[in-house]
Amino acid sequence: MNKVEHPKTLDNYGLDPTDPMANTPVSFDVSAMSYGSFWRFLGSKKVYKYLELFFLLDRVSYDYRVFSGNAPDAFGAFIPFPFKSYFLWYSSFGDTVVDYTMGGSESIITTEGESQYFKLLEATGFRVRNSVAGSNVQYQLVIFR
Amino acid sequence: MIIAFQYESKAGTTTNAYATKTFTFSSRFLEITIIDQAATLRFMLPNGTYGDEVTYDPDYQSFPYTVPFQTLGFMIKSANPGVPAGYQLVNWH
Repeated sequence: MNKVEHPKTLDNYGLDPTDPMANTPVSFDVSAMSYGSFWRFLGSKKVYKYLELFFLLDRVSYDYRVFSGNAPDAFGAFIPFPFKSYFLWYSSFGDTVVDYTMGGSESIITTEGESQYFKLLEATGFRVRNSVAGSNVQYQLVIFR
Repeated sequence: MIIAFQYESKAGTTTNAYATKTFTFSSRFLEITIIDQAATLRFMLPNGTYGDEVTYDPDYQSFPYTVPFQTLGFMIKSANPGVPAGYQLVNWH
């Protein structure tokens, strides 16, 4: 029957004194690492994104404006808002395509059953067009700040 | 974050003329429900005037609809003359 050899321990922490690593201090500073990443986080742009979202969600709007009409078949000129929105609420009484960028490059399509949405979008204007040419869809955009 | 701790409700049926409803405190959230038929609303602005007309049509817009909007009241009427709409606005403070 083989004798079971228990590991020889130096300090009851499971280190074998014959192991060449036994006297090598091994440690790492958890606090330095975590604070380091925290400060890196603070210094990054990411933190401002989070703060911005927090303040955006914390905002209560007190002013609003309404843009409504019938959508044309093609995007017209960018329609500027009188103020930058905190939130916006868009409804279309049919299918439309809306763009909130100056360049008209990021279109949002509304389809049946998704004919309204509420977005935390800071926009300065919009343009709208029919999803189906000739459909002459009525829309309503309410911006809040 | 905003936490509501009080509320009041204004409900009724629209007519062809604007009915004005005022709240006893300014809202943090406004929960809007329009029932059966379309209604037109105008919300009170901080200077006491009423803003643009907003049309609410339950055929296209799902309700209740909650808007983080601060107001002390609203005016409401039927969007289509002669077609009354049921409404309920809850002011969450």
